[in-house]
Amino acid sequence: MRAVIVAPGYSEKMPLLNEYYPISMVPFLGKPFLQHIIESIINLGIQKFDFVLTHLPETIENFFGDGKRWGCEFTFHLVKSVENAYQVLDLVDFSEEETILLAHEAYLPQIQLEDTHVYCINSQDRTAWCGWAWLNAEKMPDIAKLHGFEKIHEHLIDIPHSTITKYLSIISYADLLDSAKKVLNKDFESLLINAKEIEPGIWLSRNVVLPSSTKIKAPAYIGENCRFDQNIHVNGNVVIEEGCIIEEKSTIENAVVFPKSYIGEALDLKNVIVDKNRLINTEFDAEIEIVDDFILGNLNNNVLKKTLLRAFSRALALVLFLFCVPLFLTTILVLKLFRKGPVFFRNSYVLLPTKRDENLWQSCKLTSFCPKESINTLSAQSHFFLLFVPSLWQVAKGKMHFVGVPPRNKDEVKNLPKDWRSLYTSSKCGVITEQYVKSLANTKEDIYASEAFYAVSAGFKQDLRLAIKYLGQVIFFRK
Amino acid sequence: MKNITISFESINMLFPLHIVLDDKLHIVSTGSKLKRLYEDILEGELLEKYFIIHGTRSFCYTTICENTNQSYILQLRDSHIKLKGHFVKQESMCIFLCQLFVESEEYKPLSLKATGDFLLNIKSYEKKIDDFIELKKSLEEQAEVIKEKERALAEEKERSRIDKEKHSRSRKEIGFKIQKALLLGRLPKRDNLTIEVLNIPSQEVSGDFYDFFNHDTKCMDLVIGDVMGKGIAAALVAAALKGVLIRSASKRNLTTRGQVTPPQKIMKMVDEDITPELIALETFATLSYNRFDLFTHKLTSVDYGHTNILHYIFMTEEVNRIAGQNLPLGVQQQPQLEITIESFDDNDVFLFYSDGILEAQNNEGEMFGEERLIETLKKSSSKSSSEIVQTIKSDLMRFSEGEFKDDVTCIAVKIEETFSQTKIYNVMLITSRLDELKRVRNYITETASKISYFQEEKNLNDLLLAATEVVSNIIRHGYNNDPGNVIRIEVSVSYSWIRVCFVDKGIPFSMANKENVNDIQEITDESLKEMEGGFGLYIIHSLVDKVNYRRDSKGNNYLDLIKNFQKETSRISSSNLDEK
Amino acid sequence: MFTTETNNDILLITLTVDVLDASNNNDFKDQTSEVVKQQPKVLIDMSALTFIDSSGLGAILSCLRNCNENKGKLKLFAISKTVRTLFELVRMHKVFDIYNTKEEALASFGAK
Repeated sequence: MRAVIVAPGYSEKMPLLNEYYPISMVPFLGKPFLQHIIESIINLGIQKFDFVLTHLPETIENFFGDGKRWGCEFTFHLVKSVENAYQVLDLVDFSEEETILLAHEAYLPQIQLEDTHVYCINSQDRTAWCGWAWLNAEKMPDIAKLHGFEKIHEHLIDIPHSTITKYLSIISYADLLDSAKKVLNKDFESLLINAKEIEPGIWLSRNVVLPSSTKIKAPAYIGENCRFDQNIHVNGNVVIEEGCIIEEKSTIENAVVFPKSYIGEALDLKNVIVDKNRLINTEFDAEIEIVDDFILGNLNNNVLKKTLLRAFSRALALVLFLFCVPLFLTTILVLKLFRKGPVFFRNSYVLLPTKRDENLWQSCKLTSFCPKESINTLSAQSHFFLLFVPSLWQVAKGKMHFVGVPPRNKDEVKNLPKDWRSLYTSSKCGVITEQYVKSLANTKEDIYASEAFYAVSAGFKQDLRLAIKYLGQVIFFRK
Repeated sequence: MKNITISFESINMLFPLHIVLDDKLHIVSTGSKLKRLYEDILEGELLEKYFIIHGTRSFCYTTICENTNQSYILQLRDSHIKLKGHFVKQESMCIFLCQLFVESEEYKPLSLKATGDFLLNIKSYEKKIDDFIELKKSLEEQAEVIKEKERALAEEKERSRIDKEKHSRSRKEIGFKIQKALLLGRLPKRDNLTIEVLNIPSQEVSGDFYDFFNHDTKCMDLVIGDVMGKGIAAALVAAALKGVLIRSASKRNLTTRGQVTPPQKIMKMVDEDITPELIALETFATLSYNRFDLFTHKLTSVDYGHTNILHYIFMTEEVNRIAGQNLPLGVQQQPQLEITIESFDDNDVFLFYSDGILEAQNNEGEMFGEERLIETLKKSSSKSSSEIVQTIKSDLMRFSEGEFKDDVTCIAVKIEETFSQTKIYNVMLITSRLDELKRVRNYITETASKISYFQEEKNLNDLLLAATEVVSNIIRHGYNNDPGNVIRIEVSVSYSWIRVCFVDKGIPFSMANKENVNDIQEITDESLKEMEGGFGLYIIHSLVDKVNYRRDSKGNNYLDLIKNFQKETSRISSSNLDEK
Repeated sequence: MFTTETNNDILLITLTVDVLDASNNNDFKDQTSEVVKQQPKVLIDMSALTFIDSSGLGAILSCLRNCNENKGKLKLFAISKTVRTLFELVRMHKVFDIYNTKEEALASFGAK
């Protein structure tokens, strides 16, 4: 018997996490998820494995090697893209085998040895194939010709089906959290967990520093080398992977903390996945990369509000942009005909907010119809046509905001005085700036003052106020 | 008005203070008395240069001629002397006929009350003017006397200040002698670490102290501390504290069987000994006890609220701040001591310092601060420890302009790269031909495979690949494929890293500069296919941990590839290490 | 440096050198550019290769481009572990079709 594990390693539902982990390497109770899959398949007596990889294949190959560690034989197949994953099945020589176990990296159903069988799972009131099936080797070339999960499932419709209730899945953040909960509550028992169960429902790995003031409610799993400070509450359904540091007075409930994360002081984490400085709220599937490692929790409360606001402003920008397309095109035409010099000006700017370390700055390009230097001398109407309209696209893409501090390129930011720079990098950049709306003088002090004021008082209300003022200036005249 | 002709002499006699002006108000001549009174007046200059004109706003030739009845008051600049009179037009000139005008009581005798016949009074005026000149003279003399007295007073003050300073300096010197003898340790000579101390004393003796204890060739302790407050009292407490420390550090108790006592044990003894006394004296001390273990390459430190230790890590070029958790000594007995263990390796630099360095202020009241210190450390990290200390000193001096409120103590410890310690050291020469690449690989394989880390094929291969890229880069770009040149390759191995150094005399080409590198991860799959080259630098940078480039004055290029094979350099901190 | 054989319409290039680096990449480039012209299906057997550097990689890439210009296809197989490391480091697996064995590679061209 032989198992083919399709592990393209990329899920559209977890983009942020996928930058660093291919799906199958996502840590799950002390091991990569794929290792759990392999171990459970080995339990069925299979020793030959084929892996189909695309995203970050070297991390997977380096971790699992040739399979000798498990007494097995591993073969890795590389494919160019996720869509091509199943095409490999045609090429592998299965002539010696009768049945093949086809598996998928993101699911782990509890199954038995069978002749031919297709496994489905129930998720969100829909029954869907989970990518696992016992198949006749002869079927393989046919499957290879099909594109997409659904098509393959349709093809297998005449094979006996069963719907599995005991399964784990890591296809989305919510599933990951759910699966962890299942294991902790012993709804899925066949996993090999390295940690020791010191009390019913509490697993503790080696070398964990745990002060007596820590309060742990079952179920919970704590990985190797974790360090807890005083007065920490672990309120059940918590997985903390190896090497994490948790500062005092934090409360964690129903959460997964990825390896080597740092959790600041007095944070309240609930229904989240934390990976280093990335915080993922599973209730809203919101991913947030936190710039300052130490304020993780302070932002936590505003996650929903911020996400909503951002989505709103992006949607608004998109609508406005579509609305303004004719204006936009006319502007190009008019400028081309009546203005000397180039029509487009492309300026790069640093994406905000960002870290203080300049190596981490990311740049983006903004196309407008006026040179950067003259922005503040424009009349409100020309500002609207030359800058605001072309920038809408950038706002819709989420790379900019309506209201904010003026965009600057790397060198300009680098040359700002230190205190200004830290204010600037923690703010957000926008088309409408305080400085422009209030028509402040173009001196350093005034710009600094306006940006500092904006950065300190920034908020939805402040933004709205500036936007309305700006609109007023565009419609009426600018003093 | 009748035309009267008066000769110049009689005008001069009648009005010895008169001024003759031309139509542009330049002075043509002045009366004889005025000349005596005010020798500076030169003919041909503007009237306004010497006089302030009172009584009118528009002062010009035409208005003067029109208002001959108006009286004017002219005041000499820089003086209180005022002249009052009328302008008389004379052909193309005008003459200011005037008398002294005195308001203050003091000069009453000088004021002219007599109207009537001027000629009769001339003599008496002359006398009065003479009186006035004398008065002026005597006033000037008086002023001179006052000035003289002031000067003498200032001299007196200066002398007393110098005296005081001398006195305080001699006292200060005595204090410093005591401090140097009692509180500051002697620098130990070691070949595997170099230590340099910077000590800038302030006005007063303070409680800063430090010392070194050499245990054996692989182990050295460094203590740095600061007793609260200043003056002799602080110094005395510091001396006592140091005494206890020396006693505890050199004590070898039975349980350790003659082995070096671990720092946390030493500090526990010190803590027990001295805390009650410190509490009674209502003082406390910050202190940091550090052990350099060159065998395990670990720094163990027990910190009592002292400033952070800065650790410059050669590998990552970062500065790590080692902060302690314990309270200062003398606050309370601390049953559980937190210790910090930091791994280090060759070329790393440790900086220990007192808070005086952070609190040094410039004239705007800004503090020097840790950030600046870290910057200075980073910038000078490749130099020797004494140069590091010198750089810190000059930066600090420039910042605070030589004014320090508190003692500045700073100790730099550099872990020297000694060949006795590196296990393998090898040199090889190749010619700049591409078929030599194989020899390079064989040579590196031979050397590196003695390290267990490189016995794993992948790790060795990473290093080989990077080395091949470097050599072929040197041959192709550095020497332009000219086969007659030489490349020297040196391999050295330290505790946690291997370094392969390539030396060539070709065209400088900075491979160490990360900005030149194409980041393959950011290129789309499509354009990846179109790439001709440019993988080399990316490969080098992704396969080794550090790439260093420098060029010396003789035109040699040095390129170092450094790979860390001891990945476990993370810090552990534990409170129960001292239980055993 | 390499041997060639034609099997049906597939050109199989078998590398015989164990190293492809700056010392021989130009030879490889020159020689293959002639061979792969007008070939619709090209396979390179990399099994002998134990070491490749960036210039070697460039040579194989140029071979791929030569092939694509003439609407041909180039596939690789039997890449050793060390060579594969480099390939994956620079994401070559997204550019080349890579197979584990000759059989798989032939099968991918539809010839069994």
